[in-house]
Amino acid sequence: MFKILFIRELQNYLYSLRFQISFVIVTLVFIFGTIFYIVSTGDKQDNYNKFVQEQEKQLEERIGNAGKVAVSRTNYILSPKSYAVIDDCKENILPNSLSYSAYNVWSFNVKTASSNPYLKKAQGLNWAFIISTIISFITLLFAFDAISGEKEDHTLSLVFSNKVSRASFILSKFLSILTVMFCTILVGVIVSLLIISFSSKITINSYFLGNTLGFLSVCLLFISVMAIIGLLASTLSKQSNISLLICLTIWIFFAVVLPNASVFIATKFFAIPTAKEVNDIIKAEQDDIYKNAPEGSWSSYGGQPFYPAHELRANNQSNLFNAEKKHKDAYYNQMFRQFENTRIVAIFSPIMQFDCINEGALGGGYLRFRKNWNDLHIFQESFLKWFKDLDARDEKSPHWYNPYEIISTTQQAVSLDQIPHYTEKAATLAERIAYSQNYLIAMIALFGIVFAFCFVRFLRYDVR
Amino acid sequence: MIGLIARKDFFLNLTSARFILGFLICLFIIPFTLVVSMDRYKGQENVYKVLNDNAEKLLNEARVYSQARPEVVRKPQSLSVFCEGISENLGMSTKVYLGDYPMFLSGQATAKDNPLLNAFFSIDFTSIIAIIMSLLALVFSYDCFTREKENGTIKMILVNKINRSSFFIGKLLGILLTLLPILFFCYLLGILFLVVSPNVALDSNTWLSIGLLFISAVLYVVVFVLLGMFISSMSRQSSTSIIVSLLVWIWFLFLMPNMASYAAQNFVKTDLYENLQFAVSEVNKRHSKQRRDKRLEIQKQLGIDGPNSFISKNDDDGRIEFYGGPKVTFDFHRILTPFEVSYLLDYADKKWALQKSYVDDLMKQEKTQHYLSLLSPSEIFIQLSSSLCHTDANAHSLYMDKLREYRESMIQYFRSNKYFESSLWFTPNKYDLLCDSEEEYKKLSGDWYEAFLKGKEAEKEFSEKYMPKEWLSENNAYLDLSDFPRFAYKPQITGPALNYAISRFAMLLFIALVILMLTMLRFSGYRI
Repeated sequence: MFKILFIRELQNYLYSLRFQISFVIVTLVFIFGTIFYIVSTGDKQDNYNKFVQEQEKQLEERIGNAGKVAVSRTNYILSPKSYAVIDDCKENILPNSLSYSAYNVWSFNVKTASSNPYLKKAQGLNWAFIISTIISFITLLFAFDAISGEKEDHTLSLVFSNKVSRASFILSKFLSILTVMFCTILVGVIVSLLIISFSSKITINSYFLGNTLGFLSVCLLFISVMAIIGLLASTLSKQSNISLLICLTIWIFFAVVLPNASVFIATKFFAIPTAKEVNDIIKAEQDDIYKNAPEGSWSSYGGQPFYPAHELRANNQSNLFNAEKKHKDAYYNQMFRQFENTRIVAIFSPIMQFDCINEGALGGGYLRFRKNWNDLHIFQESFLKWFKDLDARDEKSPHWYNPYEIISTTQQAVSLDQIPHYTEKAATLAERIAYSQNYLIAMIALFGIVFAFCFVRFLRYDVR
Repeated sequence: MIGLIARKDFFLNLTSARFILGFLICLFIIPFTLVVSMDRYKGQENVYKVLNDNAEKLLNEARVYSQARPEVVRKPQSLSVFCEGISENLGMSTKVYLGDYPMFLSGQATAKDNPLLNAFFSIDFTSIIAIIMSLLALVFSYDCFTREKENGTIKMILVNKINRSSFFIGKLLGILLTLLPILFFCYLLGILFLVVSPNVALDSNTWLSIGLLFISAVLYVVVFVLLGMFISSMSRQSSTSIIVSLLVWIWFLFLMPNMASYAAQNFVKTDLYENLQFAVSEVNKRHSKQRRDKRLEIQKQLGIDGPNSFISKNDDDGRIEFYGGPKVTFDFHRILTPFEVSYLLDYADKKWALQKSYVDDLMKQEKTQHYLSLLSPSEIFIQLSSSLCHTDANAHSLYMDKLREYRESMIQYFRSNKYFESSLWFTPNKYDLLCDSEEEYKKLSGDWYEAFLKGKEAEKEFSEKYMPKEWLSENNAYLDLSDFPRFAYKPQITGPALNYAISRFAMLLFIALVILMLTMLRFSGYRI
């Protein structure tokens, strides 16, 4: 019985106008999105390579003096990644530039004009956007009248007068919507993959295919959630236009209101001190250090590393540095917490859950940023150790470490390949799972709750 | 007859579930949006106040003209409460230098200091109006013909003596009568928020903008109502027409804007900002080399090792400020200054050539996005609104043009008052106050250093006894900068901005008329 129902529903959907139009729209958007992406991906990579070369050149100018190598700040910029065609994880508007030297990881920033400041912030036409915005909407459009429509046409009572179990009826509805939507996505993804493989701009390797498969399974879960929400709205009312309005309201809430309220939520409910307040505290502490510095802490003598006051100066600078570092690091941690807390609100919107799970599955976005931030701290320690080892071997150096200046540490020349080099590591599978598991659990829980509610509601439906 | 039909439809709509739900949505979301926007605006206003006071204080504390570099802070637009545009993407202030053209507004944009929050999108009144009102317009109009067709009432009506166009117009008016009060309510709420907030001054220009904003919103709603009616006239069943309407809606509201922006950013190429900075720093290197060579040349000419002075403060933008020292230092700067200034201006031009092509590329992307998004009426409406609120890219780029003009006027001010040739460019000290010879100064400063090593008291005593008090910077008066040009540009809807608004308005009107014609044609050709 279930099979007959399922096939009938499937045929119904496949021959319907809404399927035909949606299919065309979705496929077109997949094609456009992929073409737009491959047009510029080469240039983006070239620009990034040019940047890396320029940076290397700047480093070469400093290798005559190891002190300069250690003290000067370098910006590590996150490179463009090939998974951007699946989901760019908002990497162009998340912090993507990290500044470090041997002494400290100084700060993180969204680089200037990382996304064109003259354009309104918009989402890229990647697969994730198509699913989270368009497919979610279309799924609701498919589901809203699945039951209320039959109620209106009085076909539902007709069906139930036959030997049809309610469970198999609703399951057939649900699974047919799921099948239709998933096939639409699958066609889009396959077309997109074909275009990519013809363009040969991205190499489709097992890693990329693995990402694609992971993405598709998340999609399956996501559209199940949206479909069951649509079905619930459909069981809730007797008229299909009411259930449509319920669906639209829910969608607007999930896709427009909740994501756009995040900044407000962050600043109102998870407020952190302003940068000015933190700077004032640092300044007050530094002023104290200035005042209490022993006489001569500021004097220096160029070309004479062993000038005795240099030791005082190095101590003084280190004190100033530590005062700043202590407060800044605490402040950065507050920032991370603020962002993560705001993201907890995402638990309430499946669309935002979907984004977060994808970020985890691809190892991009905030996960990538935080991983780099942590890894860079580990790297910085080894960088400093390298410099201190170098310094310890140099007899011309008094070994008075100064995080800002080169006057009282080694100034010998080093070769380029000697200098430690930071390379980014992709997030491991364990890290990805750890990152996305909460959102995944939330999504599954949401599905379970809505499904149970919908099921009970439908079973109790009184045909009269 | 038209009135009768309109009234019937109006009352029918008023009691429908969709009206109640639509009104409820507006009632919750619009005030929330306004609270968010107002909150953001207030934050910007606070930042502006702090920055501006600071900038004014800093400028007025100049003791020499080479130090006088105004910092310009952009006043947040009160209308940004209605339409935020791109004002969140850019900073609020920039310092006007001799050696650099102002390129972007930089610095803090809002009260939010956490760069991570940049990853969240933010809500604004106009986009919410665009989303919700268009949806309501479609939800009310999708079944205006199909319902009557399905119920068979259309036959009843048309067999009576009603001509089709009055039936049509009656329907249109009935829907508009339902929607426009909601729209009016939304805008009224927005205006109330503005009027109630203490630090917003609403001048006539702002009122004009608000009026135009409302009219454009009305036109926008009309476009979507007509669109819904058109779809309704094309289809036989309500269920078909609602699905088509909603797919059109999501295409216009969510797909087109993102598609236009994504296409523009991928088809029009720009370099990384960092790479531009590398190119600029190459120019800076050439600049400092030329500067160094000139300094050495003048030092050789005057037979000194370098300009000695008791106190000196310098920066990369030609600030040379010194107090005390030998007369030869004074001569040195007097000869050097015209060269320094001309190098600064020259290299600023050279850097600007690079920066301009970068900014032009960004603007080219913006233009492309702009033209592509003309395919969606909602984007036309948003463009129109943000141009009326002075928060679009054009307003920003005009602002930067004015800033660059302001830089010229500042240079002109220095030039026409001959400050580049004046000693006030580098020191407030009079020539006579300085030591006659280098040796004399060296002896004096050596003695001072000995006193300094003895302690603060001895140092103070020494300097009071042997040194002119003007040798300490704080004993010199600040410059009178009352005639210094101030940046006073206030965006108004005149000239190009007005033309722009009118052209967008005309586009919306044109779309409305075309759909109206098509619907009329279709409806009058309908066979019972």
